[in-house]
Amino acid sequence: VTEIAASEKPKECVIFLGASEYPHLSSELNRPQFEASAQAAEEYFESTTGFNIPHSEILDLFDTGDEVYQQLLAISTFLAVRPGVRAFVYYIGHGGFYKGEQYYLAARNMRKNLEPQTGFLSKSLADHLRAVPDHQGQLFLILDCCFAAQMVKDMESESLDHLETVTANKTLESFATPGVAVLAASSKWDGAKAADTYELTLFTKCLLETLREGILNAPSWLSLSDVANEVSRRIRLTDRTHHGLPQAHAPRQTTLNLATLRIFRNNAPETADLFVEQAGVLKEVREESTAEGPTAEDEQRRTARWPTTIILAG
Amino acid sequence: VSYRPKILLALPDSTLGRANAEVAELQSFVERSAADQGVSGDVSIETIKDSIDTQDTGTVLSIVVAGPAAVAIAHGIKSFIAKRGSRVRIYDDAKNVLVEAEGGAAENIDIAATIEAYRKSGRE
Repeated sequence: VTEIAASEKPKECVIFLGASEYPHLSSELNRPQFEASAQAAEEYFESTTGFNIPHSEILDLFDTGDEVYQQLLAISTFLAVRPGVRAFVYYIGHGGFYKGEQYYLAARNMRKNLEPQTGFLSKSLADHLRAVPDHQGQLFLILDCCFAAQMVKDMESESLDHLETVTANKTLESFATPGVAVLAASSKWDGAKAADTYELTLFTKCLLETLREGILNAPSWLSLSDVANEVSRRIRLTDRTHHGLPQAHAPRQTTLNLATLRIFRNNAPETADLFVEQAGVLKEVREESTAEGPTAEDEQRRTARWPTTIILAG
Repeated sequence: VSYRPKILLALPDSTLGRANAEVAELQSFVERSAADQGVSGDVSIETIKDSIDTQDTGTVLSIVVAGPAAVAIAHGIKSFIAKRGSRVRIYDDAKNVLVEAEGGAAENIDIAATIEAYRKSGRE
């Protein structure tokens, strides 16, 4: 086993999309939970116990009055000057199907019967995000809306030939391998929920609880899949009548499945702390528990923003 | 001001996603049928939500019926059922079930008569 010091934490940015009000549509679509959720999520991404992303690295288009094409331009401008930066795109709002086929995410200025032109048509948004010149960073889409997993299909790459193969001895590069992962609030046929009972949407409430509180006895860094499973568990405990459960997908897989990449710090008090690189994927190694409890070094690892040590197997 | 009764069309057997997708198709069938029969001006259709709690854009068709458009609406519903096989439930605007139509049985249900009777009942 060889130990190497990890490089600086990967650079990250986040883009918020969606709306809490839709002035050109029925007022029944307006939900204050969307705005509260966007604010809470942004606070988490900025917080030192969260992603600690500087404000300058946040593009907040939530509730903007800009038309969709202006928002798409803003996104590409933002990403183009951040080559290789891991980007989170967090949408909160309504999802729907136009003419029964084309999936879209509602935008603030969306018009009835013009959803593909005035909302975020899933295919167009996916193509736009994939095609930003000079970005080529990892994309993590977090979609808090109905039928969210429908967008996974649209994020699938037509060709993976141009993507590099990750080799086992390129541990750190695995954090920078291009690709896409999607955390969808619901399957493609199920709903997401924003009930008056809660201040936030059900999905974002349970997601932020998971990220803030962590998962007991799980690895000290969590993947999108780990998070999706825990959010599902929390949703089932919170609202037993709700059917739509989150899903994690990696529609644009290279040799690295981004949904299994451990990028979320586990804030639970007891975690497993070591990572082993195997065939390009970080895997955790659970240590035998000691009677003395966690050492100062364990605590330092737990509270660090990024793993201080990566163990290479071999 | 003339009385303009409203009926609601829902797809009770569909998941939320399928209902959201199919309700747009149902709307197309009803609009086409109304156009074919020259009563487009007597039918006003919009998609509304079944529950404000869900993050979808609507799964229920709300149809304001004016004039003798009942036959056209019924024809649109039956054409949709013939294609999709979905069950369509028709409510009045107080969400009382007026009639339910499904599969081949839809042919034997006089949807038009039901809608027309409802439309006329509001004027009494």
